[in-house]
Amino acid sequence: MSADRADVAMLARVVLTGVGESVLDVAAHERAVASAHAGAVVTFAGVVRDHDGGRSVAALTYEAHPDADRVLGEIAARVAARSGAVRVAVSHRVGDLAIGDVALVAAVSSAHRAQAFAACGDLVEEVKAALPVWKRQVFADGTHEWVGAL
Amino acid sequence: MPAITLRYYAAARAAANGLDEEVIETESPAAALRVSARRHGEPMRRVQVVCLYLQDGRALRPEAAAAAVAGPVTIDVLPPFAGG
Repeated sequence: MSADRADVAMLARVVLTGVGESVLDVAAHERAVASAHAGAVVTFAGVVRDHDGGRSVAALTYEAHPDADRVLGEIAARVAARSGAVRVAVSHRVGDLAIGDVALVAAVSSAHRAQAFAACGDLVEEVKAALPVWKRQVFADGTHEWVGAL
Repeated sequence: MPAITLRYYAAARAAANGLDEEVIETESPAAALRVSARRHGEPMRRVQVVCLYLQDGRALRPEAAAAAVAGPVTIDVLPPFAGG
């Protein structure tokens, strides 16, 4: 490992991750990644919306695999390691959520904005692809489906 | 025959009429999944096609699923992830 890579590895930090039923606090994630070094903080909130595929959604339930908490930590570490000098915080909520509830929060800070935007986008895509969490949609007409498993 | 425990999540559990898991005594994970598909019918067949599988927590490649197992194993039946 070159000196530069060692520096990056020391600076790239996962400061907060978790999968649980508690209400997510977006501001707490922003505070967690803040540092005197950071000139940019990018936050993403994944919010429960009231429609999907043209149908009206009434509520959502998320289910997590028992390993999901560990996997989210690994995802955050992987993204942080390939993103340079960033600080990363990410949480996914599970259980019963209502329209407008926050299901996913990702916050990334870095010295400059481009790195934080890129890392935050990378983090969200990686969570969607690799986190063992499932979503059950209840539609306004009372029917329901597990998303992606039709 | 070894005991093969199938653990169902999300759409797979729904296809198994709400069962979290079932134990099937047979020679391989693939054989256990065939029993499950016969038992639970078309919904289970449809969901199995799109699932990923873990054997004792490690990714189970499709070509390895037909290999006989020596002792009891647990197979996680994982529908496509839909977080975020």
